[in-house]
Amino acid sequence: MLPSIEQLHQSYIQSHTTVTKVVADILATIQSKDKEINSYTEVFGDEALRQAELVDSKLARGEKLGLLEGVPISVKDAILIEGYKATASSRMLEDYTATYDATVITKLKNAGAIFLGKTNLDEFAMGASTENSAFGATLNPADITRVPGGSSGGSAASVAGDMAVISIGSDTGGSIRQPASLTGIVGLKPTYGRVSRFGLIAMASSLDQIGPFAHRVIDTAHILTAIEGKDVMDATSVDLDSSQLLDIEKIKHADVKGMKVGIPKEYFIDGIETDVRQAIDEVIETYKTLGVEFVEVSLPHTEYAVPTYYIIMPAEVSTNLARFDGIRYGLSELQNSQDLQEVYRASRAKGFGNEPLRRIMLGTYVLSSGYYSSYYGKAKQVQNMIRQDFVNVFREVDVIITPTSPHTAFTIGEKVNEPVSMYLEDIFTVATNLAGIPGISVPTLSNSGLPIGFQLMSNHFQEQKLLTLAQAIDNIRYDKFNNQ
Amino acid sequence: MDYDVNSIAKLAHINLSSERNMMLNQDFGNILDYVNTLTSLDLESQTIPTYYIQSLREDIAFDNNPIFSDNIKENIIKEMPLVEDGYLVVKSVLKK
Repeated sequence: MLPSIEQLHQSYIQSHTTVTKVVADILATIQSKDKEINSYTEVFGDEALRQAELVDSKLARGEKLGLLEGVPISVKDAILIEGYKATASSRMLEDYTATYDATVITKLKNAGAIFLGKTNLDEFAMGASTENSAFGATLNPADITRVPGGSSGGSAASVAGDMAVISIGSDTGGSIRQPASLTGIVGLKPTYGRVSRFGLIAMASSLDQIGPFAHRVIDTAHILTAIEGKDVMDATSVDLDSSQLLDIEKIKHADVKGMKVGIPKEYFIDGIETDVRQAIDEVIETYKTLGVEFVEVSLPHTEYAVPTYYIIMPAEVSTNLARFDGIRYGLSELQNSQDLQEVYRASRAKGFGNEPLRRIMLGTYVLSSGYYSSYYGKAKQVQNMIRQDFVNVFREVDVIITPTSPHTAFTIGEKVNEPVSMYLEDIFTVATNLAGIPGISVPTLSNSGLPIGFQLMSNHFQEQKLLTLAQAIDNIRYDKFNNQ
Repeated sequence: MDYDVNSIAKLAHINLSSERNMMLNQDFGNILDYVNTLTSLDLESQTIPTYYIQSLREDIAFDNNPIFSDNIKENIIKEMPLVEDGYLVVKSVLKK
């Protein structure tokens, strides 16, 4: 496992290593390992080393170093870094170069982070396995016959495979948490509005949220602190009040005694693999020894979350992806078309893979005249009921615990031709996006076989509670497996 | 439920190959069967939520937006499929 942000920072300032050496070592790992894993779509080798040298010379001059300076980060290829390709793993944007930085990138650049490259995803972030990429599937570093989850599978695999210390991904229905669970790392989806979406290639704008992957919980807290906050370029981003800001020292301390955690009965259903169930039970038992109190709670509209999601999300997808029309940027059949309509139709047919096509078509259908109220209108009503379920439960408890995924990583190709079965991958994760609340996936204490994660959810902007509780298990896990 | 994959494709401005037409015809039924589980919910008593109708931001124009680099115009033009004298070329909209 690569060092954490704080360990890295300490070894830089105490001259135990240099930034250049750390970056060069990771680049060497990428070169030897990523031919097989395929977590990166592009590696910024020379530029990363140049940035590393800049930090080293700063150190040599005796200047003070910020915590994120020299931290090597990978970025999902749906997030724009000026001057580099932003493909969304689609033929549509294969040759597109970003003309500006996403706000999260600006913030991380200002903090001194080093970008290693862009990571693979399911095309336009649509999928749960990273098999839908136009540039080939990403494999799970824990078992290369299996998927890493998705859609941020490249990001998860880059961290799990020690090819990045941190990765930045995006989560619309589980795309950070599910791959984190399947690859054995931590993945945080913040509250909707906490992090600016400016410069994230939009999938479903009312559900999309950018968040970090890391080995350790505390590192996701450090990154969230660096990237959160109001941004004039994203009207849905919010100003955080002081009670919503993270207290890193308190999270590290992980005092969870007296916290109240809900176990939603609708999530502990038949169909959860025995290993997963046992690993979650072990986590719950461990929490109890730390003084956490558990109560059974009910989220009665849980079974409607995935069908609701598969109406609202495609509706927004069909609208957002209308911009890819062969006119201003991206793949264009302009030169091969007779008229304007044909430019649109031919460019879109050639540029979009099967999954974006399915969702654009589905979204077009549910928004079409005559079907709008029976699908989209109804789904928005049910979304409100799902959100209300959570609001009610958070009157009683601080945090909710569930599995992140009903099973461990599945094999490559297993679900690729069964859209509905792939959609059900999101069964435990979509409700948080529909409700706008934060969620985190954390590795359980199980250390045999394939990775298993558990999910914690809290009320809007209550990431402090979420991360504190997550940190408690993270500390135990770290002591158990890495400090022997 | 009625759907005609070809007319949806027309609305979505996408040409469909016969393979994709077949694929979509098969998938659409399965997906719609699945999302139709919502029809079993009684929503008579539910009011249409209004919280998602977000207030629109004020339209503020930025001169010299610091977020964008000085050469953003050139870089955007570089991404265009076909350019003439700094203008984007499109097919004629009206037929002669």
